Amino acid sequence: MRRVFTIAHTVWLEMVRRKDMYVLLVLLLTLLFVLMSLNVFGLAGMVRHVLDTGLLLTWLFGWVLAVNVSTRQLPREESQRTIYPLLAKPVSRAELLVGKWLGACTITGAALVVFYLAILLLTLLRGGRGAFNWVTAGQAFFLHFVFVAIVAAVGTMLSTRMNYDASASISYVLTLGAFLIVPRVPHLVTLETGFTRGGLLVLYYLLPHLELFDLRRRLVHDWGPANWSAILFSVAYGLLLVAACLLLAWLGYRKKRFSRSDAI
Amino acid sequence: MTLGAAWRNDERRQILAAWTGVVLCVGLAFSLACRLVDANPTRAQHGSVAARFLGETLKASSDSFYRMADRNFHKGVQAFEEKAFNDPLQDLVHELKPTEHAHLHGEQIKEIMFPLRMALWADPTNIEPYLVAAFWLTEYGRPDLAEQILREGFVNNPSDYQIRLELARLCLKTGRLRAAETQFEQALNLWPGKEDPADSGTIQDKAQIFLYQALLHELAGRTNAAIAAFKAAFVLRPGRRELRLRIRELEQGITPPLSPRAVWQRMLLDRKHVCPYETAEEHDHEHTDPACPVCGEHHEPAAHNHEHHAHEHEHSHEPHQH
Repeated sequence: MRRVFTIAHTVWLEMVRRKDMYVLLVLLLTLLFVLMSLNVFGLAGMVRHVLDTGLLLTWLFGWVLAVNVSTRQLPREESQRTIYPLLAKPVSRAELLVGKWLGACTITGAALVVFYLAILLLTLLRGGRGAFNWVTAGQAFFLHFVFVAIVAAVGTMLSTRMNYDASASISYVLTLGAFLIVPRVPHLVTLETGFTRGGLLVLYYLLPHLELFDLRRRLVHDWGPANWSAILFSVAYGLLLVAACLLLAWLGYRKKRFSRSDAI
Repeated sequence: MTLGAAWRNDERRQILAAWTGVVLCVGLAFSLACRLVDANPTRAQHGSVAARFLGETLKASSDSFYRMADRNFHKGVQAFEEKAFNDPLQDLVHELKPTEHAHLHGEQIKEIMFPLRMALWADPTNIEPYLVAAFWLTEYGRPDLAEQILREGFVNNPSDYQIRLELARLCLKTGRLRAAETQFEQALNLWPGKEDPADSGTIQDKAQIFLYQALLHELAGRTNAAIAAFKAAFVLRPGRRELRLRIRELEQGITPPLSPRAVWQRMLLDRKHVCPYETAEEHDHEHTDPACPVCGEHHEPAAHNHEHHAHEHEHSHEPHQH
């Protein structure tokens, strides 16, 4: 386990050196300050649009960060040929995969903590005292973190057999499709018949249900905390998805041969 | 070497000539472009630079912000879609994402103003956000802001009658009868504007203008003008027994039991929001309240989508009406 944490730590170090997170944070804050400075009919104390837009951007940035970090790790090690000394050490391939995934999802989670705090503080500064429930905010963050863990697992899985560009592109398409299309399938099925209907149902059960991890509506529109049993079910579902992706990643990576000529 | 050959060989002169040609071409193209733009007065005279460049994109953005206002009004729940099946995953999604039908109330109502403001910035010719914002600002207790937004509306849409009608109602609510009379007059002059004159909603708006005018005439003691306006409303909405009764009472010199002020106050106060998402069950009840003393209709919130209730509610001012 220590080796896993060491690998995750290297991912953290790399991300701290890179500028991705800082750029995203500055972008988020800039957009929120612009939103807050707008005069809307001279009314004061409106906060939901700040919260709504801030969370939307957080979801977008978290998703981009999770895909980029997770899909970059293994291809970069291979292209820079640092994978050879790494695997020459007493590190199993499973540990390498889990370490890379853990690093990717925890660094993204840390970025999410900063983003959430920035949004909630700005909402409070704007006069939104009582505009949101702290328990709901905690639940929303927790499920968002599980979402990021799934995306990182999908990215890690795809990067075991593809280069960075391909794995990142497919991760984006897969997760975006799952997030946008899957929740609409129960309605779309009513409009289709035959093969299309069957295809939609296959997609519905095959693709991950990422909509389970989005509590923005509950938080922004102050519906109060969700039922804890539903939260636990969602977390269990998310952990199963992560485990499945990491298992698939291990199956694809455990006997992968590295050729020095490929790397060059 | 001849003079011409010397000129041709002079490279600097050639470059100068080329640049002169470029400037001439650009200048001609610019002046031609100005003439072409001038030939299309609607595009040349109206709208900002952004509106000219983005055109339909801004209109689509405006509609999108308007829908966002609707979603905010329903506490984030917008789509009420039929579903083919229900499984444990769906149940879990419902547990996590509320789908109940709910509205913002009281202080919270101001949360719909941001998307409405954005809708108006994107497309100042979109009428609905003005009407909705004005309606809810009045409900929120800020008729001053409502008037401000309506005035902004008719600066941007000088030929639209709906904004004048809304302003006239606002004047009535705030007790400025003279101003209301002027605005009703202007609304009538501008009717139907860009709207379809055969549309039932547009016709009802006209009938309402006549009704309000008639009540204002009646209050001012101009009985003949009141009768004429009531008759004009009756022509547009024949078969309204209460309206016919009021005309007869006025013709016979009888004072109707309900004063004009009481009638229009009821008409104004009963202009509550109507939500098309409310189910039939929510409206499955007997009408125990009396009908409107002028038009004979029930002014209650859930009376939408019923032909016989087509009074104020058909033009209720809520985002999701459109």
